Amino acid sequence: MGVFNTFYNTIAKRNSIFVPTIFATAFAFSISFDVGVTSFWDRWNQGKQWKDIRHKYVQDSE
Amino acid sequence: MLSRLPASSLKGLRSLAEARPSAARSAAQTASRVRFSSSSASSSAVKSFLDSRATLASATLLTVGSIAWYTHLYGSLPFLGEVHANSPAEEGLHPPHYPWSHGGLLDSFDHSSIRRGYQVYREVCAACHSLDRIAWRNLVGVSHSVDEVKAMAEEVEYEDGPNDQGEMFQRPGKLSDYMPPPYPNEEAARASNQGALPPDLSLIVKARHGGPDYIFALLTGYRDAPAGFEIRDGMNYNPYFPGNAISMARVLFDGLVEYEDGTPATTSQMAKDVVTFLNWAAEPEHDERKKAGLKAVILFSALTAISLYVKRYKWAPIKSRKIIYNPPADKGHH
Amino acid sequence: MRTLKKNMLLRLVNSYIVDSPEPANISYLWNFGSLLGVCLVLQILTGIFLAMHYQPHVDFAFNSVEHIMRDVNNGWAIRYTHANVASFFFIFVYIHIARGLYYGSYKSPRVLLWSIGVIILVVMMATGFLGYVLPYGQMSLWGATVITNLLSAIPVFGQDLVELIWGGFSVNNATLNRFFSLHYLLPFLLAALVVAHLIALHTHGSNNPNGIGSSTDRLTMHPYFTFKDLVTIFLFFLILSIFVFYYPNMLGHSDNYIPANPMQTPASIVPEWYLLPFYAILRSIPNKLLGVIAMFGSLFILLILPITDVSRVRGNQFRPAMKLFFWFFVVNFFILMWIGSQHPTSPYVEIGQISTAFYFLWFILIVPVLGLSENTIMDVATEK
Repeated sequence: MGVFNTFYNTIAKRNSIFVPTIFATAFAFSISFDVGVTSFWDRWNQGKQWKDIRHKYVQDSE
Repeated sequence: MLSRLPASSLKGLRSLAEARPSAARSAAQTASRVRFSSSSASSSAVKSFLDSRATLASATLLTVGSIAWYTHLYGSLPFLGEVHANSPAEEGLHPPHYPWSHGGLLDSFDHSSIRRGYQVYREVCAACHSLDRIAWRNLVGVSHSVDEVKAMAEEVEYEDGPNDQGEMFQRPGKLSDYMPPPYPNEEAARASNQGALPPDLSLIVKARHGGPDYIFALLTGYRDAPAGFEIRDGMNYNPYFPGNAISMARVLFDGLVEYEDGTPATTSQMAKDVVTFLNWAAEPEHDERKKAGLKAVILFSALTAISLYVKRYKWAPIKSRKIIYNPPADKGHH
Repeated sequence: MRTLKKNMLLRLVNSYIVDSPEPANISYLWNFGSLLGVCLVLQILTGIFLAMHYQPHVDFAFNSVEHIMRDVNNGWAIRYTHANVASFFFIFVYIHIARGLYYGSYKSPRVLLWSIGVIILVVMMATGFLGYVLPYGQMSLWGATVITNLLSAIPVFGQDLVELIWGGFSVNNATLNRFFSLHYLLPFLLAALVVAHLIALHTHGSNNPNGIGSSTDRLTMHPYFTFKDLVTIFLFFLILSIFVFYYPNMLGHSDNYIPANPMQTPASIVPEWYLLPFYAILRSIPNKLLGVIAMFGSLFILLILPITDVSRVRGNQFRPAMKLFFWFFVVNFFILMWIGSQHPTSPYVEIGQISTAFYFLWFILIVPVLGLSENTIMDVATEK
């Protein structure tokens, strides 16, 4: 109950705060969701992807 | 249009009803002669069980699920499965399901296998089969490094031109060039293969019923024809091929290729690797597609759940409303 | 007054999706209309982006689709979405029609609405047929050849008509080019028909499961049905995603990944799954012309339902016998679909013929007889 009140008073009350907050949250969620799924995908497919085997074939001398 | 049978056609029925010994034909008696389904129902507990939507849903699910499970186990519909317009010879023996390392919803290709598979394609298959839709650049970052691919491309000569003198000329391959075909045209391909045309392999995994399972079974499925099976000269018996007689002879034998990573090159290993390579060739977007799928399923599941909650929140006052019926006050004897 | 209600254009938006008074008791089966609208929008959007890269020439079409799949950024997603939404479009339209059949939504005063709907179905099928030819795989070419050849059954000018449509003496480049043009055009005709469909709906409003008047119990479209529609829209996107990202070719035919070869006929020529029941009806009649008439008849017979359904009751909610026969019709439709996918040999042909007969008898015999019987029985039971 209190947390909802705080949310309303600090963020939802003025649209000029609410809308940018939505954009910022979406931006942050978008990046973190992508990083999260990517790291799960990489762990699940450990050793199978090109980035896991490229060290055998690429000489990073530069 | 006629909306009911005329009263005259029911004369016989009415006289039958009238013949019944009884008192005055009041509305109540008429009503009691008419049986509505609710007046002769089974006990109300059984009735409410039979009428419930949950029962109907479960019964449907049970039926559909049983049929689906049976079909999955035995490969044909119950009872109807014995009906075949096609014999297995016509359709080709159904290949088994192999546990491909890229088979699961979360599984990427095994890129080491793609790399070995390319080697098998290059050393065994490319003699007869083209791979027209794959360019050298497609291999970069998938199975080989950019320098490796450049080197491989440069080993091949491509015709280019015209130059400023108007002549066509040969030049070493570049990343943007496509895989060189073994024959310049269809006629040359047929001439070198007893009239048969070895198909291009870029899409073969998607162009055959059974996909990778079929190709693997085919490559490893060569055996002697059963007794009595007539097979033309030059054709080869393969139970997985529709019609069972395929022009291509068996090409994979143990030790045919020497893998650079030291993997023993058995027939089944080479088949597995080349099929994985060909699957990649047909579906290069595979890894990206499944990863995007994971994100899509997570997001849409969440959105569906949230939207369901919001719907029920908005509908709550309606779903819990009470409707009261006040019958009209009796205004005298009716 | 609020702009939403006063402005000439916004007031239409308001009357259709904000203040529209809906019966309070419409179930989730009433969600398929909005789902169909979403499908049309998705198809138009993905189709326009595909058209930016597609080449409607017999020598380049197949390759251009592969170019979209391999080289165009996210082209595979656009292509797979377009192909799979087409299937969902038909799943939804069949359920939408089934809802109409079950609840008597075709009865007066919604006959115009129903009739426009039947036209929409036919235009959808034409659009789908044209679209399937465009990738120019084996099934594209041969399916087009089989279906266009049917018109030669028309007496006197049939063969000339077919050659006019082909723009030649067989399916060739001219055919592909014009099929692309029409495939781009028809969806906009569909959009116009949908607007007409919605206007016709608006004149009397939605039916409801009870089949009786609901004017005493209405809810505004917004928020009740906008949020209810959103649930099924997200669920649709979820199931669509499973197909597009995990099983993109499950509903298709592997032969269409073989470039079209006029010199080689595939082992079995089958249309996409959603056309199979009508394909089965077509093949059930041994005569070519009668088969064509039966196939188109099976679609247009939907139009006579307002006439043949003589029941004084709207919908099957309170009609136990009709409920049973409705489900017979549904099962029969699936049997026809299965038959359409099989080779035209024994026993599939015989089963298909029985199923075809049942399909037509349902409209012409079962529906009116049941209605007639019920009306008569009810009259007898309630007369003094």
